Amino acid sequence: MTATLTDQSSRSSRSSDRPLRSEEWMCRELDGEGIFYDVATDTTCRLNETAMFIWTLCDGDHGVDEISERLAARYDVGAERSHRDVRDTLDHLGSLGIVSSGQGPVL
Amino acid sequence: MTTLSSGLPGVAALLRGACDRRETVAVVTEEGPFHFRIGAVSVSVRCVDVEAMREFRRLYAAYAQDEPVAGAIKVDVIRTRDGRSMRRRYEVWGDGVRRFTLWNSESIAPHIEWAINWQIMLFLPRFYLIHAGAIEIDGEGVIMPAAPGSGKTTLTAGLLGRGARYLSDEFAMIDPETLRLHPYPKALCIKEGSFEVLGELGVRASERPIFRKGKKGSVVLVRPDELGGEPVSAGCPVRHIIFCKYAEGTTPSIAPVSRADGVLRLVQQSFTFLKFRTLGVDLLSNLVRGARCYELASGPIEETRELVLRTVRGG
Repeated sequence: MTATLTDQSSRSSRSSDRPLRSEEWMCRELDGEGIFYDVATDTTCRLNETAMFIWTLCDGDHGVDEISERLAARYDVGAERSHRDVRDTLDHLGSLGIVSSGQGPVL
Repeated sequence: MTTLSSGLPGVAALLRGACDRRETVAVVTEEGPFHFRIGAVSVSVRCVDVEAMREFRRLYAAYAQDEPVAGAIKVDVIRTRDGRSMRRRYEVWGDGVRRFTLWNSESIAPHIEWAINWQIMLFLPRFYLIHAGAIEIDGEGVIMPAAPGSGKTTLTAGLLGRGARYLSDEFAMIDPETLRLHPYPKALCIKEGSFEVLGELGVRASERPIFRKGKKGSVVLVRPDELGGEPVSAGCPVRHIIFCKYAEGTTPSIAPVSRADGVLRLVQQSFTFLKFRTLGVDLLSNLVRGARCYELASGPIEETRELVLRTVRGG
């Protein structure tokens, strides 16, 4: 299990611990993967199945720990690796603006 | 000129400029303009060079029209002189805008093709355009998107020699309403590096006019019917999308890629994505849902085309 994201952007920032999907990005799901398009910047990127799973949980209600637990259960991997993958993926998604800070308290 | 659906300011300015500059074009020809219609594209060509005009008439005789078609792309080739050196030159104009300045007549014919392609990219609003070879095999559309120099025209030519039906060696022309491939059966522009392959397909480059096309070097223009017995496709659904990459000495191989990856790659090879944008994402997503996507490392034409045929036919 490795969450990957293919993109054309080089911006960088960090996502929050209670991430929220951006409304700015258009998403189309294809066989479990995702195609994302940002009209404002004409940036297009692809999320693989694992990254898509993480993205779907970015609803502002789930914290990183909970997303990691769900990911570990879904793909039958250890907690440490799952947490690392979630963090890395959220960093990528946050740097692109696909996810942003949620309103809840940071876990 | 075809109408423009895009609101892009740069393109609008270009159109205004075209109207302004049109009056400066004066073409002296020994024969009248040549009108033809290939697929959805109507063209009127006027050219001062008799040899280039003769080649164009040979290439598109089957599509000739007696009268100009309203909205046709207009390409004019005029002879002028350089202001400083007084050296003779040729200018290729597309819909009233100068596209190329050429220093020899051997460059004219392929640059007329290039000018037509340019106008199509800018002003054919009805279709979504992908830089790709496009053929039909057993009723199924195959598009082969590739960056320039990836061998898509050579592969397209090779497949015509094995019974594929031709749609285009330059554009996959997608109808946004039906997602069907439309034919744009332009002459194939074969580069010098593929003349040997062309010979194996029964067309000897040495027996026909050889032109020059900028950095691409020497080229010949070939009608699709010279390469295979099958008639041009009338259009078909897209069932296979094969992303091509050529590297000399490579053993041909083909591997599936995911549909999402396919969309991302198609965006990169699209001429018109910025006209469609969100509609383009939907169009491409729907297109790949009905197709299989592959990545092809192409090598020697014989092996490569057999690999493509086996893949498309499910062997």
